[in-house]
Amino acid sequence: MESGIASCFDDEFMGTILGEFLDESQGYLTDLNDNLLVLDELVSALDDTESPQVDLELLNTMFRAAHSMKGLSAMLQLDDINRLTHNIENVFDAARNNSLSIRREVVDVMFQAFDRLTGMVSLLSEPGGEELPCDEIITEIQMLLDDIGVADSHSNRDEPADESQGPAEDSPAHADGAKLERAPEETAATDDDSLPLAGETTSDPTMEESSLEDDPFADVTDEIDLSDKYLSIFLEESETSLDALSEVMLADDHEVLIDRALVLCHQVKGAAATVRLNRVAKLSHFMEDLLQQLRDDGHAITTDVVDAVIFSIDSLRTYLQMVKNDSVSTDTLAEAYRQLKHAHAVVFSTETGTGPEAGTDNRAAAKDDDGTPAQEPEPTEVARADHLTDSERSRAAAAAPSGQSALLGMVLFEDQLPLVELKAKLVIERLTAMGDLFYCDPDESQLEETTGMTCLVFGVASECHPEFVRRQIDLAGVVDIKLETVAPPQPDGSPANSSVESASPLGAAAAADSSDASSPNSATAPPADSSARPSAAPSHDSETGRGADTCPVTSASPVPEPAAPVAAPPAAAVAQSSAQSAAPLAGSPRPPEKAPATNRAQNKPAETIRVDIDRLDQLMNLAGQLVINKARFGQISGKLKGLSKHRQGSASLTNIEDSLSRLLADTSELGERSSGDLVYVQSVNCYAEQIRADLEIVRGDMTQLFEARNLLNDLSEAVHQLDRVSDGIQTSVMDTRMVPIGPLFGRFKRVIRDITRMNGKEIQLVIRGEKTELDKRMIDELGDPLIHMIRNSADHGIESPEEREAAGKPRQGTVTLDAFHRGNRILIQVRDNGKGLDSEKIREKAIAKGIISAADAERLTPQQTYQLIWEPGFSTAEQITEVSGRGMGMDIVRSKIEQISGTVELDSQVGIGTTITIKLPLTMAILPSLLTVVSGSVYAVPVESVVEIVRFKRTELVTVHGHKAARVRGRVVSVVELSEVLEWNEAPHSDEPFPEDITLVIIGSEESELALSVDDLLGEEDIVIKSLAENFRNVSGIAGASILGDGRVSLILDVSALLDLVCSSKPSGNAEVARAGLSLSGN
Amino acid sequence: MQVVSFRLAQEEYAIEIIRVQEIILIGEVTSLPQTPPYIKGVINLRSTVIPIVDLRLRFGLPQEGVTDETRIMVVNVAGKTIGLIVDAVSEVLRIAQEQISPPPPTVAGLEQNYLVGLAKLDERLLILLDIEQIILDDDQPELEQAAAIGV
Repeated sequence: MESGIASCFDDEFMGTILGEFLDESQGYLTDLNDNLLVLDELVSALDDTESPQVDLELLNTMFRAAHSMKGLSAMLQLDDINRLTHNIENVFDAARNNSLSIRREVVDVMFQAFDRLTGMVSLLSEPGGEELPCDEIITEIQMLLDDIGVADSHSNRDEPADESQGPAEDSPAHADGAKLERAPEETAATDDDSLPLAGETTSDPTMEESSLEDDPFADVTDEIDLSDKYLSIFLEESETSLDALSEVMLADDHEVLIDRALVLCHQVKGAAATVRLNRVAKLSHFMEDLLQQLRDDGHAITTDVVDAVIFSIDSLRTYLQMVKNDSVSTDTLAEAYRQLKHAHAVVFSTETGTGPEAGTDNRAAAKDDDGTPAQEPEPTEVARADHLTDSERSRAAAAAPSGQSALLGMVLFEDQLPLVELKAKLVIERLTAMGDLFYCDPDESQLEETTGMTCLVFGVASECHPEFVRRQIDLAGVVDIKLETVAPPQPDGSPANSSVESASPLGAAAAADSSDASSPNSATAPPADSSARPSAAPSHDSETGRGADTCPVTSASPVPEPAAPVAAPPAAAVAQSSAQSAAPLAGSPRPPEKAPATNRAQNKPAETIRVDIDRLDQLMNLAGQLVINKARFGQISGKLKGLSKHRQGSASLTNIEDSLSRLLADTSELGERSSGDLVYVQSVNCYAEQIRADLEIVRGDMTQLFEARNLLNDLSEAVHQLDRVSDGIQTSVMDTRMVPIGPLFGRFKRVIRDITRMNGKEIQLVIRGEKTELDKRMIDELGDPLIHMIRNSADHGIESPEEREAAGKPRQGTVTLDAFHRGNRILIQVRDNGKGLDSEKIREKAIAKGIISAADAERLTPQQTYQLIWEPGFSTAEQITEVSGRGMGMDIVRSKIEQISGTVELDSQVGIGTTITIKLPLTMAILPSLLTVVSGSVYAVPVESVVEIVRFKRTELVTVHGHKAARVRGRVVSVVELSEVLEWNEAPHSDEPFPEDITLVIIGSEESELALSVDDLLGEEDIVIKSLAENFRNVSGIAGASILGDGRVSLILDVSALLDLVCSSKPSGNAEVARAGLSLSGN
Repeated sequence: MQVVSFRLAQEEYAIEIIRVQEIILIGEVTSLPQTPPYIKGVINLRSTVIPIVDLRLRFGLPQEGVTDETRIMVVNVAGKTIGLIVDAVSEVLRIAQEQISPPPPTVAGLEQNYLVGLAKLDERLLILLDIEQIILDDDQPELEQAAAIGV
């Protein structure tokens, strides 16, 4: 089957899940790494003989990470990863059972295993590398486990005895012969030996149970204990698979597509098992088996099968929907199972001929062993029917009207009872007659569609005595009735929660808890012997009410689920306290099902969608274009407005008309008086008439112009709107790409650890600003340069402990990683407090490598000398260590950073340390800027760098040490011309060389300021940054280019670089040295 | 191979056609500071900013004004898009390998490593340029020096 499935994976399909897998496993790997580092610290703190007290939660987390990866890899049939994660999982499992103590060698082996695992995973994303064998590691792990005799028991843990014993041992409930609601299913899913992969995947929850023997909630928790994130991924994935599956089943040629269907079933199964929706897993498993058998035996897919499968799909879908909305109620999974079973029976009973029959039988027998036997659904039902489940209680309780006492009940019908819907209807009717039926599952309206129902859960608010109610609804065909009274969630403290079946005082536990919910300790408080109702539970707090209501009931049940007695208090505590404070104590179980469920109610799983980053890039690009176009619109509408200001137009038209009329009157009068020139007068008259007619037309046009002017207002409004929308798009697109830098920084903990282990230095890594968000692309690109810098710092920068002590420093060196915003930039710093760079050594080396001539080198200041390390082929390490110094050095670091429009600076002081600062633009795309005109060209100054804008008379400028300066509100700011600061090939010349007034844009970053003299200001605009390095290279003083609305290119000034240029050239009378430094750092 | 031939001063040059993305008219060039003199600046080529190299200056020829024939040849070199100002673009030619002779030590002041060879076509002599070498090798020390000192 394994190979069958594997062959069904087509590339595209594979690619999709593989993507999911890679995404998810990154998270798990990070978790593992972080936690391993914590373990490592713990272990290092102790000497070898001691075994550390490890936080159980930590081990649980690691176990879960390994476990989840195992599940995922099984789903993808990544056998090696599967085996490896399986072994890793075993180690943590053993550790949390206290059968394996976490010692140094364990951590080391785990690190090795982790590295191998990381390697294997990354191999998946970038195929073509060498295959990484994992057998060696696995053997090592096995040896570890063998030492303590864990290996065997765990490698054989698939045996069914394991699970059934596990819970039974510590749960007296089992002795009563009561069955867990889901236990049979789990058992079934677990002992699946013939399907290695499925077995692996599904067996785990139970394995966890057995390992958590002191944890009686294991059975409850196994349903969903994944974070919403994973749950939503699962839901999404399964929904897609189910959709595809039903499509396949509905297709005419589903025979051909059976392979595809198998894959889909398998996928759903694997995914469900991963998030521990074992019932879903089981149903899909069965579906898969059925299809598989059909395919293997060459059977036709009958309509029965199709119907059954479709029904199953629908049930699953409904169920998933309920999980999603956190409103799990009675589902039809069991019914679906029966249908499938039936279809199976039909198909294989019509079989004739002994050969295939025998084969089928064998397989069926095998299936029985597998735990998917025919009797399966029945025990499930019986088990299910035995009590109200927690979730049912909580839902019913939630629906209960406040202030009234209510009865919760469950009516069990005979299995396969004919016309069960009618009976149920009757029950509902009778209940309605007795009181307010506030809860009913399945709903009355659903009854029609529900077939094969075996139980009805209801909640009724009634004053009637429970016994009366019971008699009323005890109809023929009803097997059993369970009734429980639920007190109204009122703060009156009256004992309200008693079970009719067996009123017991166990509710006290919850009572104790809810009254002291804020203290997480209360979660472990033993049940107090009092039946007091949780009086502190406020009735308006549905969550509290729910927690309080349900828990006592749970504990009061005569045959509680093994999880119940102790599970209830923490559940209540968890439900009441906020999600975070629910952090389980060491030794306490993971939050039981209840808690995540209630939390999820507030916090529905965030729906996520995976997007190819190229598409985001494309979107970003388009948003950029939109911004440019928006600017163009703005300009046009501005110009139009300027053009249509001639309001006198119509007035003068009227004047003209008036004059014309007067002219006409005058001429006619003239004609009457002097008869001689009549012809002449008449022709004048004629022209005047003509003019009048033309004027009429002009007037018409004028009116239109007026209308156009009104439209213009509309236009500017629309442009305004466009403005806002495009801004919104811009920010949203930007936000989608922003991710915190924390995980990237986190990776370096490991780097530092490895270095310290290797070179015997003591180094502490301090991480700051991990919440700083950066564009995803930048984060991706930063990994390599940062790792290089950190290695340099740790390997070359930090001295050995002895050296440090000799220098009067603490033995432990510190490497600090910091990320923060500074103005419109994000700065990332790698700081060490090591020995600093040796400028003399750098100089020698640079000369030796021919990077700079000896004469030039002499003239460089130490700071300029340091910049030489950015030159290609430079590596100062005298001794090339394993970690760093392969000579591929800092020039690659710099070019990497320049690729993302960043700059990198280095500052070092001998004996104090070295700081490398990476400056990155806030976004890779859009920058609000002040557009200025200098000598006819437009330059953009990032608005964030503009301190103020002042107008000056040229005569008001002063001269300080031969430099122009301006006195602005009491401070002196040096004034520079762009043509002076930067080197131009063709000096930009102004048409008006010395205008009377000059505009000064005062720019500054951090502490220094500079007044840039400009000819004109065009205003503020959002511009799209185009990298110069993309097609050319970075130019010092210029941060990039931008395309203006009219298509011209404007340069974006790099304010901090300008400041540096000015400052570096100013104090030195020796401009050449400064420029030499400039050319080195600039090019 | 197919080449695009163009004129620069009195000489006729050619580069491989696969390098040439398009040929455009010269428009407004935004000048760029802190660059060698032969970098005329940058232009907007359909929302991409590309640098413009004046090949005359690059080859040490005297600068000429823009004429009707002046064109920008947009070439792709090492993943970058760059515009080259040439006096005129002549035609697309097919040259057989045997028509190409190895370059002499210097042609028109250009060093040998910038040349692929010379192609003789009837009466014409085409200088085949290694455009990649020319563009990538723009960090020549003397030019850099010149740029740094502000010549």
